[in-house]
Amino acid sequence: MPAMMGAVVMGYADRRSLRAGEEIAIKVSAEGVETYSAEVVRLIAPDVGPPPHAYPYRADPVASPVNGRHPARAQPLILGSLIDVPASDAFAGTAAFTISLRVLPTRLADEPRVLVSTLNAERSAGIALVLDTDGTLIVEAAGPAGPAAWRSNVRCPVGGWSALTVAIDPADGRVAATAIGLPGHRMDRAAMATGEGRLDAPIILEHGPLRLAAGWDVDGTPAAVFNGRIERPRWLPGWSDTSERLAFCQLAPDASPPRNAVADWDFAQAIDSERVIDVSGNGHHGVLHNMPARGVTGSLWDTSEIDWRANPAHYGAIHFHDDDLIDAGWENDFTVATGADWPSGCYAVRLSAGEAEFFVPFFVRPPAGQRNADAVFLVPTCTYSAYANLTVRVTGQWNELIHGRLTVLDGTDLLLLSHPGLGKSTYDTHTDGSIVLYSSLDRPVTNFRPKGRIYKFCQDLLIIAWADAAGFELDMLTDEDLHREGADALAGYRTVVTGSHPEYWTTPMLDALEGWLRDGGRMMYLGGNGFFWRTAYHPSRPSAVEVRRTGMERIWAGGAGEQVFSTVPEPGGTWARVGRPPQTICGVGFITQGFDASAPYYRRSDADDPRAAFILDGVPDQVIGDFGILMGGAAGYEIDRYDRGLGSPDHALVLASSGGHSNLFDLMVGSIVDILPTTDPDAPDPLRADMVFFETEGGGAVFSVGSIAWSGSLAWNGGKNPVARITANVLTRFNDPAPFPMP
Amino acid sequence: MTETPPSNWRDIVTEFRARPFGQHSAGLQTLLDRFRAEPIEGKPFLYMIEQHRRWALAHFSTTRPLTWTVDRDTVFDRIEDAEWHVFRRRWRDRYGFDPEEA
Repeated sequence: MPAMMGAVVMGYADRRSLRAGEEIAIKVSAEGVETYSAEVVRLIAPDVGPPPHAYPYRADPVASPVNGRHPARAQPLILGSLIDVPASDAFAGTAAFTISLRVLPTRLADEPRVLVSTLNAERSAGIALVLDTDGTLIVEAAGPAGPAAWRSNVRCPVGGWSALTVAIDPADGRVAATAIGLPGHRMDRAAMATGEGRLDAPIILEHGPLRLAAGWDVDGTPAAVFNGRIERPRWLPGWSDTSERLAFCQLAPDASPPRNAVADWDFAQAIDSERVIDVSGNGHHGVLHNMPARGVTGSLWDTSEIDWRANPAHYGAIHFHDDDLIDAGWENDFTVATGADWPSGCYAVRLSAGEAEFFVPFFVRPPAGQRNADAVFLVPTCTYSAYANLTVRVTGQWNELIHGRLTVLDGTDLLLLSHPGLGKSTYDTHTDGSIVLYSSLDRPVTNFRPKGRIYKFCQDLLIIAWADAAGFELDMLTDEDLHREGADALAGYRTVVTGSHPEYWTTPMLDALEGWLRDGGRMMYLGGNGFFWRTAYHPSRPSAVEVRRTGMERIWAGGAGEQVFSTVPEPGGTWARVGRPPQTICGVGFITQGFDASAPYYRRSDADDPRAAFILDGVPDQVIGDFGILMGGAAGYEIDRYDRGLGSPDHALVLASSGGHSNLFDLMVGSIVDILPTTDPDAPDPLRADMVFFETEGGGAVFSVGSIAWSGSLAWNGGKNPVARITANVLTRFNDPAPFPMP
Repeated sequence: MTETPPSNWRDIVTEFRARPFGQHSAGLQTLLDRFRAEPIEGKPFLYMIEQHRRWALAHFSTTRPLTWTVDRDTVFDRIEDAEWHVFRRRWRDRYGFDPEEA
């Protein structure tokens, strides 16, 4: 069957979390149909296979006026980052002017890319500086006779900084350009080229906006978006001869120009914002679209600092990409009004059209000041954002190898190929090969649903399904709520139950959880590779996250000297690298991963400690979890280990440990030390998941399983199994207000 | 031009059929790594027809931008059967004979 896409329906919401009684707006795009259906459902169990080892799929209908058919319309997905500067007469007229900037192209392919443009969508006026696919500067313009152009002999090659200065005289069409290479520590040629010519038709520069890093398509959308870095663009009055152009090229970006500029955009200012500042005094400030990367090194960076806050002048560049997307910006199609009596839980709007189906999940909390349960499920929406539209899972060459099995995809996954406008995750690379730093849920997200690969939200619903079947009440709370409200969001609850893979944590989230645990709270960490990446939530875009993978020497490595977030003033990287390893909060920390086969836990002597009696009550088994829908065991996918040296509490009990993991787990270790031969035949397998319990000073406690696959075993044998029993034992005791004494 | 299989190829095939996932011998793991490291262009994958119940063989296009085709005549009720199907095809391509018929 050829790859034909029939009807397509997609959507997203204006938020992920709301309180019962509040409203949520849904944005929909539907293609190839006149109408689509919407249905509000409460998600109880994901669609992960047939019973008896998985709970039956449950998406319970919820009465809502929005249920039914809706007229379809397509809404656009517009990729590419740029800067827009409001319309001004300053960029118009017949007087000569000069544009200077520094530029680092990272990908010039397919078509010429725009550096600066006032060329309007109608192609009737304006001028643009464009780099051709080989880096050659082209000056494009328009006038009464139509388009005009001049192809220079000046090149800005991919991979290195160039300083470029272009002089233009609209009155007679004279154009001149000079560029010099800035090789830095590279052994590249410090090439200098200069040339002069004349536009091949008369031009007009009229009142209008200016755009940096892209032009305007005929419909007004961004066109020819530049891939690469731009630093300190300046619009200067007057013609510049060869020596003046050379001087402008040699002028440091942090130095003042010898003429009063018409506009002088200093990207080293307001790095933590989506604004660019015109320091000319003329007020031509700009606005970023689709969040190009900031806090990135510019041409002045000399390795003396690795923090943009210490020397912003060295970070005066912005990195633009033709596939940046932070918010699809769709219009609302309808609003779901939740009832004050809606139970806290996972909900979704199920969109369908023909065979097409798409879920827009959201999470309902109890009304303010209320709680319905002793335990709250912390929905890891921060992690969902980081992984949103994980394109590498579809297009990556190595997926099958590192997963040890054929890649499984469905029609929703493949939307990432048919609709590349959906954007990428922080695990993906841009078209120029640079890592994606920002991601959000403000767009249709293909891997945020109760179906498909059993991972992230789909997998977290396994815990929700187990709790429902076992008779436990769980209120919902999202990472976004915890980030904004701090420990107040946890007030009144006795137990936090985590998702299967709560990997991304902001500082406010982690501070809130740690403080709450110290005050007597209890946490069931029912996952693996949690508390791993320090993450930033954008201050004004609630679902937008920033990730800097400092220290990664392999895939996903960030740029040199670019470890500090641009959206909040903190270093990124793993929590371990900034002194708060996962072991400090949950007792275990990530050791490796493997997706081909999972393993069981084996009971250890600590399990006989009376402090752990409540956990293993009714579980005499020596082998725990040699079953499950996630590759056959409770310990797998991504696994965590107790490590006293990294902060695991010394009084923690290691109740059970997995072992015998496949050789693919060797492939993904973070440290080669963990797979070097040991001289001690009795040493525990270094590649293992540890089940850990410890008490806290405030009467609280923590129980950690250190395995993503744990949740895949809960439903085995209709929920009658040791994994489910242990989980129920712990939740029952954790919900009991009686304090845990410190040993 | 096809390659000569390893001398213990029958053991490797038998091991894969018995356990397509999990710990493998060095010989089988080396072979699987080579099979699975194919470029994404033209690579097979499984298209989930019914959620976690039925899968069809599918392939990415051999050119970019990537598209895909689904062979709805080659459908599996068990992932293990799909793995064996693809293993046989890759084996034939590399060694010139069907490991099941040999």
